[in-house]
Amino acid sequence: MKKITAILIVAVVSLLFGLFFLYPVAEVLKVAFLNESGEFTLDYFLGIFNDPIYLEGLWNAFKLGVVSTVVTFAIAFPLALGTHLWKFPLKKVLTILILAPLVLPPFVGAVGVKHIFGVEGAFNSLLIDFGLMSSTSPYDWLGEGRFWGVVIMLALHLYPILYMNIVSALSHLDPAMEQAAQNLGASPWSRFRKITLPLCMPGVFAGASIVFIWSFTELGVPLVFDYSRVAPVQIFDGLKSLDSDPTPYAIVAVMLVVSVIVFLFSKLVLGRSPLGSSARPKMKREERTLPPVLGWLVSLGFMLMFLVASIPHLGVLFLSVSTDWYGTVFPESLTGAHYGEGLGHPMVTGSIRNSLLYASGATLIDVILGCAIAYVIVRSTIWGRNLLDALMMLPLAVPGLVLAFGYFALSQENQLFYGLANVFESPVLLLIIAYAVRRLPYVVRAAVAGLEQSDVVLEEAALSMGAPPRRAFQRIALPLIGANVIAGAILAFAFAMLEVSDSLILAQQAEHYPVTKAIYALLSTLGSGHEIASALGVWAMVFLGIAIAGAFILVGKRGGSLFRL
Amino acid sequence: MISRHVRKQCGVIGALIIVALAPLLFQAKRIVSPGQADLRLTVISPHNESIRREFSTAFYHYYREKSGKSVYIDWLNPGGTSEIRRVIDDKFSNAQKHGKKGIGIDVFFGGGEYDFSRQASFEPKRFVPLEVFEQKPEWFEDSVIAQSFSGEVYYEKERHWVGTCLSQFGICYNTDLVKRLGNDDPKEWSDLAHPSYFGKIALADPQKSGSIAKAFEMLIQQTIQERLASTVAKTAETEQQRRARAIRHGWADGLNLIQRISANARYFTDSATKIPLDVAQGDAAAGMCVDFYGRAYHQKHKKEDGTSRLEWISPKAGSSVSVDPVAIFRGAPAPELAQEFVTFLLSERGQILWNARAGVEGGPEIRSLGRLPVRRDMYTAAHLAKFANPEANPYENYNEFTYHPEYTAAGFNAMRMIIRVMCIDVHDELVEAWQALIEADFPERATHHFHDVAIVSYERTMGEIREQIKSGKQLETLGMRKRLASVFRRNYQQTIRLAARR
Repeated sequence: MKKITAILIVAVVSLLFGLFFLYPVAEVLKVAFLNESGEFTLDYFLGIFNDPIYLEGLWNAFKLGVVSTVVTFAIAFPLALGTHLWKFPLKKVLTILILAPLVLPPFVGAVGVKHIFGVEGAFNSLLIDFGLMSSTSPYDWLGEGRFWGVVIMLALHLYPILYMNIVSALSHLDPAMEQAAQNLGASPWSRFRKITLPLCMPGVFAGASIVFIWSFTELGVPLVFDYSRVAPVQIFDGLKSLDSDPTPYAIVAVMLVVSVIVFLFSKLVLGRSPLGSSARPKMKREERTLPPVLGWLVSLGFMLMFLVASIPHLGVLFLSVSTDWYGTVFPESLTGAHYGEGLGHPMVTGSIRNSLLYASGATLIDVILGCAIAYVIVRSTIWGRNLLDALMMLPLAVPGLVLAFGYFALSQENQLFYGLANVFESPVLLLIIAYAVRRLPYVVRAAVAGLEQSDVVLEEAALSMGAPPRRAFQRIALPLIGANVIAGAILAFAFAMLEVSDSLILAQQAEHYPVTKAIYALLSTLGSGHEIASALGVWAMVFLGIAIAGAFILVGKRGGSLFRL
Repeated sequence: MISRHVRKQCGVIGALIIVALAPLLFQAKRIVSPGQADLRLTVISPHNESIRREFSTAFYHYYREKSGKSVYIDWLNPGGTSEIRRVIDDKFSNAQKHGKKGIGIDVFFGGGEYDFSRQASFEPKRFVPLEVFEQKPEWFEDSVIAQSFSGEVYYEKERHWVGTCLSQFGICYNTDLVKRLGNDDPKEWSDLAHPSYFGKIALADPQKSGSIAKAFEMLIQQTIQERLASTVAKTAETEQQRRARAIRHGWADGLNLIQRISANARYFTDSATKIPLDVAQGDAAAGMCVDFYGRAYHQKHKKEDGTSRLEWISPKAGSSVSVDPVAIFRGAPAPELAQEFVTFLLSERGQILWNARAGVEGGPEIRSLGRLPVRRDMYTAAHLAKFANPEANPYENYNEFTYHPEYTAAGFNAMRMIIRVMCIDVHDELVEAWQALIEADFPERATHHFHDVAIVSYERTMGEIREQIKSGKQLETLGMRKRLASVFRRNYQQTIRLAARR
């Protein structure tokens, strides 16, 4: 890549990133670095390290990040490998179904989980019905679960991120290499350990870094389990407190620093394949058709995973049609009334239109910026590209409310974003940009992983044949990383559709609500707020489910093999 | 011949369109859309969706009948009271910086007296005087809306805000669970401190809401008042000295009670619906809950025989009745309409809406709001017949508790910080210590350590702690908070060691 092009891209990206991420975040976090007289101080920041309660919160968050990533990997890798290697019954359907966690609005999912795993929830009722638990002392899974409860829920929610990245990475592997190893007498385990795993490390790292930062900064799941000694909950409590206390902002700053350090360190250790990049596969890997029994066993594994991951969805679905659901495996009786009230609410149709607009706009921006950034990071030799890479991960580590408060302050009259917040008398542009900034890491990571795995020689060949760099990127690099970009774009779109915190603060008028804020508003409906919100949550799940499955059907020429080249 | 791929494309796109348009089948007729309305009123409010929807409809009809014009209420709902506070503060700070008078919002509706008093305390004033006081002086007589009741202020003397409906913190409990734990139905706050409720209490977070902090203050007020009633003068002790001693001990009793209830708590939350939901679902046996959510969930789970698994009670002596106010911002875009809205809220028509059953004349269209009107003259037989909760009349059934601001009000912010360092920041250690005490059957020395609140005694709270918070020196205040938290943390760890030694 020409240096001047790289510098130009870096300049544009840095300007946009600085303006729409660093500046608003700095605007909010500055209180953590100013004393009463407005002078710079590190006292609040360093004070976090002297406070055993905050230190423990940070340590617990770090542990959650590491353990959740390991458990997520343990779920995602076998699934990805199975998808890559074998043909088994119902494969097309099952490989789409296991992406179920991507369609669940997180706070509605929490309501569903509580109805399944609550003391008087469906799971305990089932155990009691089978005589495996005493009805006089049902177990309190949520109250007692804490750390491991959070880890399991996070892993079940996040494994599709890692799965999609690993499947994309595996699709880049040249089967000739494995065949060569096999011919030389390497055992399957040894081939896996020495060829497959090292070569797909960029994909593993791409997904794992997102999963780690997500788990490290996760707020919703610890709140469901009432697990309060963890940094994100401490930040949330501080932000919502009546006091104007700089401590939560100082913890955010610490978490940002930790995220960057962990990211850079793990990139150094895991980020690149020790075997270098593989050339574009010269031959297509033939999926092995498993014998019927073995094939059905693999299908059963996928089905089980789908069922376990769908527990929160089932909770939401049953709640949306229940009159009451307490102390029984299934709701006492069913009703469609919550759908009438939820979907019939005047703000709902507008909010659906808004969500589609915000999420599509944000995804488009992310794909354009994400590919450009990834190209600079992987293909250029420009100084500081690794730092740029680490910076691109920061939007995941900043609590949504912090960025939203920053945007809000800057969108007031005479402030920098005022114009953006009032184009067409609507904050639509500001919301699209806010959504895009927070979802940019998904596309950057996916595209970086794709480029790292595709051999630069192919682009160099195009260049040497006289193709201009832009054409080489468009005709060679982009098609090579197409699967990765689509994976990143699906994640960005799904998570933008499910976004809550930006819209909570920035979409203040009902005309601008996205569907998630409409759900949030309906949660407060007296008496049956949760059932009504669940009905709208089911709608969101069906819509996103069709959208994601549709992407597989339309883009993937062979159904479920979207991420295969 | 259409190719298979095109057919698939059509199928996917068709399915997406059908799902996206499905809500249109359920759409209820909208009373007025923002573009069609003659007038627009911008209201920022933490009130729930049911209240927002019913008041939009009712005010639309009221104003249309009165003036022939249609009004669209633009509800700004950035979250709870803490987000609203932040939005208002940011907007005013920006307006001030640029010489603007207003913030583009007309009305602040709902929240607690604490939020309104805070906003009213700024100079220049953020609220304008309400004209309803001049137009309808008869509504502000003691028989209609008194300036204060049960020690709570119902409208500001400078007339910048006025209460529109009542709210009261109480206890909601799950009858099944309470029975399973072998307890009688709770009747007062101290019942929630019983060890049998370990891990089964849901508490609201006093850090995040002034109204919730006020509920905790009432708990301390109750123990102070009990001490004042029971403390006998010592020889040669003056009445003043006796009262001072009783208040000191009552303060410590109150903090100890909060410690024990917090030790039973599974969490502290700022979500109004989480507590009644968790209690109704059996995840908690009892919790601190505002009256109308308690009543709404009671109604929801009511069976044919009239019983409900979720009950709500106003605790015996220990809960005052406060108001949810309304105010108009200075520089409001539609000041006359805003004044009309406030007058409507306090009119008979606006007041009945709070508690009338859905569908009755003058009542809400979809569901009862289950809230109690502030006007005392609404509690007549004719009106009660329309009410969803006719039995709830705080003016008649009041529990004789009166809030005495002179005991604790000056230390309100200090009390919030104390609860934080004593119960919330060190909640894990508090819970472990309480569990150790329960398991060891409350050995004396360990129990004493657990209850040691000397470091936040009444004198220190009203003296150095209050002064430190008032000083505005954040770093020093944070240092103090950290020191106090570490003292309590040590106390609880010591309690665990002492209990284990037994």
